[in-house]
Amino acid sequence: MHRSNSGGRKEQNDRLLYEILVTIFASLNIVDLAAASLVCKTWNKACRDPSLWHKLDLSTLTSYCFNTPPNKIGAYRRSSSKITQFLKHVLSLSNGNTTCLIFNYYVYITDEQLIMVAERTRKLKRVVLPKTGDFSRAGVNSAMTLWRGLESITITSAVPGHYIFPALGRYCNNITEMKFSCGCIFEEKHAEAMVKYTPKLKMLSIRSIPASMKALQCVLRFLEHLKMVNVCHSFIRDTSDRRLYGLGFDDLRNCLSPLSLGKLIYCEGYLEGGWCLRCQNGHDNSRSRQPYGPLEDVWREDEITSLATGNHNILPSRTPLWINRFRTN
Amino acid sequence: MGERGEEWEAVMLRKAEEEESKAVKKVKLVTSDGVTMEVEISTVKEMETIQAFMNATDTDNSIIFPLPKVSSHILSRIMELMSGEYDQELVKRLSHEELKEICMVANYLNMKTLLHLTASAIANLIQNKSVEFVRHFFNIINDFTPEEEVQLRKTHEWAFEGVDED
Repeated sequence: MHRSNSGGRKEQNDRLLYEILVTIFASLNIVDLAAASLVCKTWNKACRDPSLWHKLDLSTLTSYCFNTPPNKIGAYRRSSSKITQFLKHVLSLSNGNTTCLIFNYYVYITDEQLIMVAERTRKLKRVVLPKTGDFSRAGVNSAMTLWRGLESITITSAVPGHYIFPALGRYCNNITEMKFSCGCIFEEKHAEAMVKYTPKLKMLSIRSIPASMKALQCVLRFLEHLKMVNVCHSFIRDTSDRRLYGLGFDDLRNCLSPLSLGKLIYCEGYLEGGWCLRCQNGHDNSRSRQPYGPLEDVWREDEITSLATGNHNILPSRTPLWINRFRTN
Repeated sequence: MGERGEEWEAVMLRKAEEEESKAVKKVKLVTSDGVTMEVEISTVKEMETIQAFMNATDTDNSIIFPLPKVSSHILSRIMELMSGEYDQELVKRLSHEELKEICMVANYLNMKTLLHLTASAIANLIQNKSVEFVRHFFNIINDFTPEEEVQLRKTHEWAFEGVDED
């Protein structure tokens, strides 16, 4: 019953049409898709279909040559040539059609790589920056010049705030969503920079990072378009008080106006028992995810769905907004 | 007893009627190996290519539709999948050849659910596999010139390491 003669094979080969290939490729991750483009000319052509490239998600790189290096220096050596090669290849397949770019949390990115990527993704609207990388002011400036249409950005400690905010203010005038994550501390200077450089901000996530109460008050008061601030498990403290304790539910109510409270996404759970993604999903402590395991989750997931990287971000069914709770109390 | 008997008769009558109405709404599919398979109209609804033809010709019964690209073996496999409501387990039991054939037929007959199901099953099979494995799996003749191949290997080391054993 099965075709096994060579004529049948040839015919079958021809019938693996472009559209079938694109349908199959849509379920492949980025590494497999890039490898598929090397199979033959027909596959190479199908791999370039624009529909496959709107979202370029590097967070799924799994091939061992991209795995987490043990330290920064190791990272630098390992990342270099192979990742440059890989990025150039996938970006040539994408043909500039990418509007959403998610870097890999672990793969070290250099200034040159960031600029090279930006040059090939000029239609970008959303970027999620990696945790590991080292960017200069000039590098960040060059990238932002190329990403003028940017609307959403996830910032990590790989990019110092005093580089990124002025660059956003100068080149990217349409930033409406921002996530401050992993290694960042949300301080007053950041809040002031947001008010000055990204005044159109609507959504802000500072989940699970240390944050200053004054900074929070500042964005809630001065960013007039702000609709939601995700403070799930953020360690919010009063920086004028020397003691190191986080402010709880009642403190927030005392410090913020009802209107501001209504914009907060807040979880009262401690490690477990709350409604938020961290409480529901637990932390990924598997060995492959060490030493940044729990932090990678913080970077990847978000209660504001549009700021999550997209995989495994299934929100619990309970109402995420604490508007009613705050108002009735 | 009498009452129950009447009920029973009524049920049987209804059943017979249903079957009669079904009998009218059947479509004959003729496969590449000359086998004629009778399928219900509800089945054909998912085959948008045939459905479009039927809408165009506007005939209700005794339709014969030739499928020169589909073997009877593959068609019966498709019927199994459809009646099993596209169970993932059924898909796993298919041979690779069947999977490829069904995917192509699903595309040809424009059966969306089946196409996506088989496409993602094929994608799973080629995940993390070497370029050679994929060529072999799909019986693809490598049409890159030797020079191009050398160049590919030189600039795409990442694609040739760390993959599963073939």
